Amino acid sequence: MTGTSHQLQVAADLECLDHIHRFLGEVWAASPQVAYDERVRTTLASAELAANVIQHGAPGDGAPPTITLVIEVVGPEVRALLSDDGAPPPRRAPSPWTFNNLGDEPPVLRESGRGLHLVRTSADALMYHRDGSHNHWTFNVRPRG
Amino acid sequence: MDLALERRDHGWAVLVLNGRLDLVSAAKLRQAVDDTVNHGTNRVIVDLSGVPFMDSSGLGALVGAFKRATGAGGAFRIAGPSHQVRDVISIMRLDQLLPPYLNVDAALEGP
Repeated sequence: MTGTSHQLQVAADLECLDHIHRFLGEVWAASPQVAYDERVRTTLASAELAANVIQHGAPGDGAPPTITLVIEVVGPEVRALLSDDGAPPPRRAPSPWTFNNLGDEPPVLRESGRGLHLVRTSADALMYHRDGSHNHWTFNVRPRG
Repeated sequence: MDLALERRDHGWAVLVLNGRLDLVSAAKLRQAVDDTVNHGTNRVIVDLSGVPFMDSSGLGALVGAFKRATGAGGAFRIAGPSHQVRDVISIMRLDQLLPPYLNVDAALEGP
């Protein structure tokens, strides 16, 4: 089955999330076969990964990294690739890394550290790898019966 | 995200949010809760009916607001969360800490 591909390239600054939400809104408008639940899960996973880059990705010179988000829609399924040229994630994991070794959820009263857990629960498959100077996060979002 | 403060009977403050509660706007909520408690009101409701999307930073701000208000001897409630906001709370198993009230009136009535 062939799908449609959509791409956004944006600086990982504080306006980045506005761009991502607007971009995904355009993708959903062009993809009526993608159900509400898959749209919400894709949006949450993309926004969390981008937020990670905004918070932790700036290299030594302080300039914001560039995020490239590619969304491929194949029938009711979404396949996503979020890449950036920033620093590795702070919770440095072996590359490649899968969401199965993320560890336990943070304690109830903790105020941070839930981003990747939300990505894990939103995505049906999530992988990270570091390729030279780039981080690559791939995930799929499939309908859940 | 826009934020407005409303005073209600029995010492409640209602913070009415409009827009995404995320990495960019979470600090605004934290500051508003701090200001409210610092000015002597420790019973706080956050009206989320105008929030279409919340991420982990927004959730962290709600947890922080809960701690700030209850730590000052008060109470903290959330009202009117959207499907997406309820999902994020539920996925992270914070339903008991942040039980969603249907709307502000229901939150005011408690328990």
